[in-house]
Amino acid sequence: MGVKNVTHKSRWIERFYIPAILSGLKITLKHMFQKKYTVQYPEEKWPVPPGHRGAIRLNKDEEGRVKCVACEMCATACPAKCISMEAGVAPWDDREKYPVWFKIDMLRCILCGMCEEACPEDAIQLTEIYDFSTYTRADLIWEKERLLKNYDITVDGKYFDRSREETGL
Amino acid sequence: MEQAGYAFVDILIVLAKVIVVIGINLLMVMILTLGERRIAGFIQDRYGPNRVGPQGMLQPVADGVKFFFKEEVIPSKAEKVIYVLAPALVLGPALLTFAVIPFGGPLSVVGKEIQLQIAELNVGILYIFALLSLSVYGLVLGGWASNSKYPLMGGLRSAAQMVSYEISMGLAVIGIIMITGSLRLSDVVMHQNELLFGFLPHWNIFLQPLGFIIFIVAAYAETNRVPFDLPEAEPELVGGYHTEYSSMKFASFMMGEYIALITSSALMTTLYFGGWDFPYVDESSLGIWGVLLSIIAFAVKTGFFLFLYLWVRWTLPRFRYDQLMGLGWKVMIPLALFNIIITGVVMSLL
Amino acid sequence: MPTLKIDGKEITVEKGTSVLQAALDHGIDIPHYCYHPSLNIAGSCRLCLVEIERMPKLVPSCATQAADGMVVTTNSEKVDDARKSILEFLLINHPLDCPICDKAGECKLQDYTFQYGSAHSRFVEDKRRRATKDLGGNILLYRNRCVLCTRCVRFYEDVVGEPYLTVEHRGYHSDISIFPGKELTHKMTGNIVEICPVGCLIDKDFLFHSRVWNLAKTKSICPGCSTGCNMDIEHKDNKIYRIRSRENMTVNRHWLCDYGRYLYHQYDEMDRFTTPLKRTSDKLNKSGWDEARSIIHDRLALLKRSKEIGKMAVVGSAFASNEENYLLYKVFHDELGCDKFFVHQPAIEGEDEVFKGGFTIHTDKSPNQNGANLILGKKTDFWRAIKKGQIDILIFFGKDLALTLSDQQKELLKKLDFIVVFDHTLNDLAQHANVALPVTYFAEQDGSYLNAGMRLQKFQAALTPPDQVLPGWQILLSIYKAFNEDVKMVTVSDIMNDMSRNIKKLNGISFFKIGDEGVQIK
Repeated sequence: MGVKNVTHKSRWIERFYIPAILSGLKITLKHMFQKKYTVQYPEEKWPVPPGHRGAIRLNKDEEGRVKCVACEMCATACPAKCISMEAGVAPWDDREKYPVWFKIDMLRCILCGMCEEACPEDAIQLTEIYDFSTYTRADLIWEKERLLKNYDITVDGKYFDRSREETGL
Repeated sequence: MEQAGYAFVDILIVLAKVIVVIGINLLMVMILTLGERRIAGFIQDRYGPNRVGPQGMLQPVADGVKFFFKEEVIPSKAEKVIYVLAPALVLGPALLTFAVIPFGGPLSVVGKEIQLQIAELNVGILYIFALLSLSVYGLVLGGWASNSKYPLMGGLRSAAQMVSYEISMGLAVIGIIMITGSLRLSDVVMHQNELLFGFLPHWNIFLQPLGFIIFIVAAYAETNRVPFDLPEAEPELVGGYHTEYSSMKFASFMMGEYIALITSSALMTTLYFGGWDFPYVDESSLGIWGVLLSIIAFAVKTGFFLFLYLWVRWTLPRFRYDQLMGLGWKVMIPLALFNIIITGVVMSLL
Repeated sequence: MPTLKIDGKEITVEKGTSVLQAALDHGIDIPHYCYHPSLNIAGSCRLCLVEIERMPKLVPSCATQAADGMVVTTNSEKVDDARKSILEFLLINHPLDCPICDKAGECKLQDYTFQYGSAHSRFVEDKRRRATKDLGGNILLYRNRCVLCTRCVRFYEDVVGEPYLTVEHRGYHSDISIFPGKELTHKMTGNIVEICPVGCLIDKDFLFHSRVWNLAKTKSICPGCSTGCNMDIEHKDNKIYRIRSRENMTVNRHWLCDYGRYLYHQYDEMDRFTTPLKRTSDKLNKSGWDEARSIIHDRLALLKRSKEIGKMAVVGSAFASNEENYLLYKVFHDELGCDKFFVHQPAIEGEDEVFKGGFTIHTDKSPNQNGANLILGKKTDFWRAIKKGQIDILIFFGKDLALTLSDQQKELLKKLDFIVVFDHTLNDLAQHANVALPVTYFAEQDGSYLNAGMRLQKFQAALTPPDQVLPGWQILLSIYKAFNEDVKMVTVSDIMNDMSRNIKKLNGISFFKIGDEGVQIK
């Protein structure tokens, strides 16, 4: 590697620096009237690209029942060990096993999506929800109801159109 | 008897002017704190603070409330008396400077002519320079009294910087004194209240362009603004001379700085842009409306220079310290001397 | 003693050993379903096919006796191909319901398919569906999942000696079925769940309770009777989920009776007291360990000073571990000079039940009668001594969940001056105690039992006991140390070392020498 000397010969007018300063001021002035890139959260939300790994949801089957069969594959695959559940005999004739309770500790969840990869039933999925901060730690321990609600508000892909009241987020 | 009544009314008028000027100054400080951040936002393609009140207008109020409730921390090894005094030494001179600046045409009420200027001093320009020299004490003492290395360095820098640029600033203004022949600021304004060659306003900017450039550069250095804000260069000195200050003391420093901005903008207007003169209009013939027009003209011009301060801040990078001193001593002072010579030559020729 | 070569490894085995068992014994894995070392050979699954030199076709290794000079290959291309084909056949009708199958994780079909099978199925037709049947008792039959190894059928024929299950129909229609009119309420049903290589037979007691890979295993000994069956406690989050038998060919082979298998429920559900209790006037009130210990210590010290130690009787237990009984003896005989030692044991009625395969269920429902007798002597009737008025003070080590007293015995207890009880529940006797101390049960402590066949076996703690509940040996050790500062014993292992020095029959034995399969005592 050699050193390359670059010299800039200023013209006499440049040595006053005033034109340079003025052109700088022109640029900043132009930017003042340009379109702003700020997203005015929470009135506006940044729509995430497809495949975004946000909050977790539990899917429902055609009859609106939880799709999960409580095989614990997600809990086994989870590197943060944030999923826990208790399996039980399903109250439906055509299903054998279902989760009596299902809990995800979103405080621990690292949103890696391994649960989604592991699930043999496509019952657990990561969604586009990224704004799920809460005021208490307890609110981030999500039970089955909460996870199914996440499905309801994201299943039609219109999560970002919904109001705060509707999503509960 | 009449004398006493006359004096009493006079005092009342002066008092009213003082209150109005200080009030407007403080209001402007609030607007500036918000403006600084909003303009920064706009220049950087974002919005800036726009949440508190409509378009963030109540943000300064929120900031003020916050400052009042902040914990007051005084370093245990600080020189307490000077430490407490320093913010006042910055704020006081900054406010006092405005006293000699005429902010509108003379107003006649019930046959009484009231100058829209708190004190019509015959040595107004000297008074301003005297107070400018004073204001550096606040910064140096604040930096020194904190008993901490960064504030001390900030204070030293500001002292050196101010001393250096005061010279070129003073020399630049001599050109104007030569043209006007008076140190009285109202004379300076009145002198500009005419037309040059029949079509140009008789503003000093057209007579003293070089002087104005020197003056504005020196003013930026004197007010510690970008690109000469080395005393508070945050990458090097944390916060500069006010590193150890908190709560309202810190706020006083900031207010002092912003009032200095307003004063220097007003000074630029007065010295080079005709003061309250609205070009092509004879304000004295319009009575009360003329006075109003002159105040508006003054406000608009001053406002433009304030905006320029903010605009420049988010455009130019900061100088290196040696560049700063080099510019001050090796460029500005010779140029200012050159300016005086040119002015003298031209005046003797005319 | 034939010597054969399996995969280039020279192996010498007993005469009559099958090639499969020879390979398994020497760490060579040959996949198999129907073969089970404790059952007769069926040779029906064909998965253990191996190539043997000079034999024209692949042979089932389970049904081929090892012979001198045999050269066996278990991983040739031909063998692999055969395995792959057989697994593909088995998977034709096996549902892919691993997510809801309790066997998943310990399923042989899963393991073998993963290891030897094909990753893709060529079968596109519909799978056969059969309804799940309840066989009675705790057993569910998931007929879809069956691979027809007939281990369960043979278990009843060979081990129990009374057929319950059979294969109905032939060929494609073969189906495991129970004989008409029968119900699986037999005493050994749990074993067929264990030996089923797939998830066809499922235990209702464990149904969906946990995935098997989440369970930790702790080696233990069944406290249900004096057979002393070896078992694994499978637990999670300080809770027992199931008990499975642990192979010990000299004690229980591969089996466990249902009584022992589900005995942990009794301990789970017992109404135990979880702090030391002391008597104030008529009631037992909560106390702390410091207080309880000082009450006992003061009383014993007083007794020792007044030279009335002869008025004290110490009752050890056939339910307690050897270490606990030994410490009772140490504290009260060696330290205090008491000479009245008894052993509490359950009433024994009827005959031991011996099955065709040699598995025995003893009527003695205590695990350690031999051990208690060896350490404390064989006297059992302390009631008579009480009746005679020879006893004022009774130290009683219980741990017997079935303990009940007759009214007459309750009256007798009232004659006593001071009673200390070590137990789990406030049973008839503990209610009369002056001080009742909560002790751990077998799954919460280390220890050893001496079974009916005089085999010394150790068990280990699987669970953490509640805060204030301590192992009996720990309590006794602290009482011991209060009297004798020279006692250096800290762990169960230390107690056993001390025991082996002082009891002739246990000479040279240590906790570590016992091993997983126990040690025979003469």
